[in-house]
Amino acid sequence: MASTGIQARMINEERQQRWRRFGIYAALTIVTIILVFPILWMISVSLKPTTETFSLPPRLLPEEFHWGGYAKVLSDPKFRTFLINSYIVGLAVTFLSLVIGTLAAFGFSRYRFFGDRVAKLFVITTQMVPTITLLIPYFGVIVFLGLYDTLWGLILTYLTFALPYSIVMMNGYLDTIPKDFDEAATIDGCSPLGVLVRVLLPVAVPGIISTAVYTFLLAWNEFLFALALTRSMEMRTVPVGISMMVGEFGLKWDEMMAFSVIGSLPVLVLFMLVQRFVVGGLSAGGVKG
Amino acid sequence: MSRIEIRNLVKMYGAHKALHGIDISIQPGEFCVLVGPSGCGKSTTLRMVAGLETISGGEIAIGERVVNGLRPKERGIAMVFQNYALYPSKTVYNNMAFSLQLSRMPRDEIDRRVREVAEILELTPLLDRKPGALSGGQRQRVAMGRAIVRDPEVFLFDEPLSNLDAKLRGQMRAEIKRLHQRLENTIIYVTHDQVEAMTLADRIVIMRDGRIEQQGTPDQIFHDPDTVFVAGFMGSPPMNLVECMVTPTGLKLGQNDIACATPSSLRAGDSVICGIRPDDIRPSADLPAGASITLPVNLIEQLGTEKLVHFMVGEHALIGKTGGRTSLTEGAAHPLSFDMAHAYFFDPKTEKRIR
Repeated sequence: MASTGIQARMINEERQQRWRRFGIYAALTIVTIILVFPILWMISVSLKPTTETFSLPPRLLPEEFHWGGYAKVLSDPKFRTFLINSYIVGLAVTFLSLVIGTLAAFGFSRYRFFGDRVAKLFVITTQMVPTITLLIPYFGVIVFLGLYDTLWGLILTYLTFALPYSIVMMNGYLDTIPKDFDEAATIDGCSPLGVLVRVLLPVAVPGIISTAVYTFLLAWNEFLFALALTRSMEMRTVPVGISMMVGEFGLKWDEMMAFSVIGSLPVLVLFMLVQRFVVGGLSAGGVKG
Repeated sequence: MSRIEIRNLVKMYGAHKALHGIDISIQPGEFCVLVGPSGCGKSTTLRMVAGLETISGGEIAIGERVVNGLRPKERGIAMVFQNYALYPSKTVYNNMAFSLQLSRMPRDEIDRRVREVAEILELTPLLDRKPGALSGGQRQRVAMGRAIVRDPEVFLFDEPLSNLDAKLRGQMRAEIKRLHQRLENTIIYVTHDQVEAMTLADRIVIMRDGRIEQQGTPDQIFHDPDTVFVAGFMGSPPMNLVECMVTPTGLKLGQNDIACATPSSLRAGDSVICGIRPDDIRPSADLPAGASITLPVNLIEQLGTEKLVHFMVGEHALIGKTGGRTSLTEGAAHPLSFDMAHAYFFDPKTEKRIR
């Protein structure tokens, strides 16, 4: 009698478990569809001739693959310029914000100095101002510095957005690394900078990579300031370039979406790389804890 | 091999004085253990010798050099940390070679030294592993290897065994002792474990609240304590310390008179702290010569080769010892002998020894 009761309960539990799993998968599927659909649609439109873009009923797969959009975009030197500009700005911002941000974070994490807390608070506060309110002042400053319509103007501007983030992020990361490493390295003969470069940074690689990806994406995706602070075709970046296709060329959906796909590629590749790196222990094993 | 002179060493943290003028003189090749409860300043002292803490006052000399203004790498020291602090991104080999690489030693010389030390510490098969893939004892050995390859004048150990389990700790303790006999370096070793202090040290320095309570050989510290604190700190179970009254014939312990010789400076009616080790309180059958009192035994702890006998005298809880085969019954009264020849007397106010 008792055993049949237990059996019944086990079957019941199993059934519950199955339903729960079904629910989780259902929810995940719905969310995934919502997230992925725009991307699929972008790819789909980029492969259709403009005449087919709004055909009814809508089709995800085009009747026949149309590569004209890609061909036009890739052969047009203008678009190549946009891409190159975006890469220059993105990589420069990433590099500079990593170097400056890591050094600043090292200072905040490892040293106590007069006003260190206030300074750290200030770094975070800069993130709280709505970006749009800064547009006009930044415009003024950039013009004043003679950097209007230059890539340096964009790099400098994005650096002011990216730096607080990379300082806070790297500071958080360095704080998780025990100070014993610093002390051991100091006794082994490292200078303070040597401690950072030779001992802390190798441990902080996952943090460095995720910070780098964030800053790169920030620079890559930024639209508003890129639009306001540049004027000539030679200085435009990818997001501005995409937007310009709306007015200037009428609505060439295939070209626009083809360029969007090309513009999204680095982002996708980056995310795939990051996933590989962020997984795994950080400072596991060095210190008993 | 270098001597270490610590003269009137003071450490301030803001307005708080953590070290009140420490004087230690360590001979070349001596194994000096700093021991004391947490917060007594032993680690601070060690870190000041290492150069990881600034010196607020006084002087530290290693060899003949005053090192106050020198950076850690210029002091000729190597340090083993409590949690090892092995570089997680480097292999065992590179962990050990790191300091030599920084000092721009030729590569083949580095290789020779690392392999030699790895051989001594039985780390050779592990040289290509990273610290994450090592057991606690292996990490400990790598941490020691990292210090040994540098062939420093002075080794500094900061509670190196406190993260190991009891069995491994015993093994590593013996290994450190052997290593010292072999290398003959000067060592400063910080621990809160009195067994480590007793077994390893040539000289023990007992610290408390930023001051030195007593320093001397393990024998001196154990058998000739200067203060109540030292007497109570060394020994497990600790020395019984009871405040009692001096009588013309000896002491009054609770309601019991114990006949014994007391220091000549004491007068009848004086109050005194009497210290007697558990080893010197035994059932009267074991110790016929002692002063015997019959007292109820309220707890017996069986340790194997011996038993601990807990009993009360008045409101004082005392501990005695007996052989593991002696049968005593808990709750019953037994005659217990006090070997007063080995009793210590301390002033209740100053807590200093009365000889």
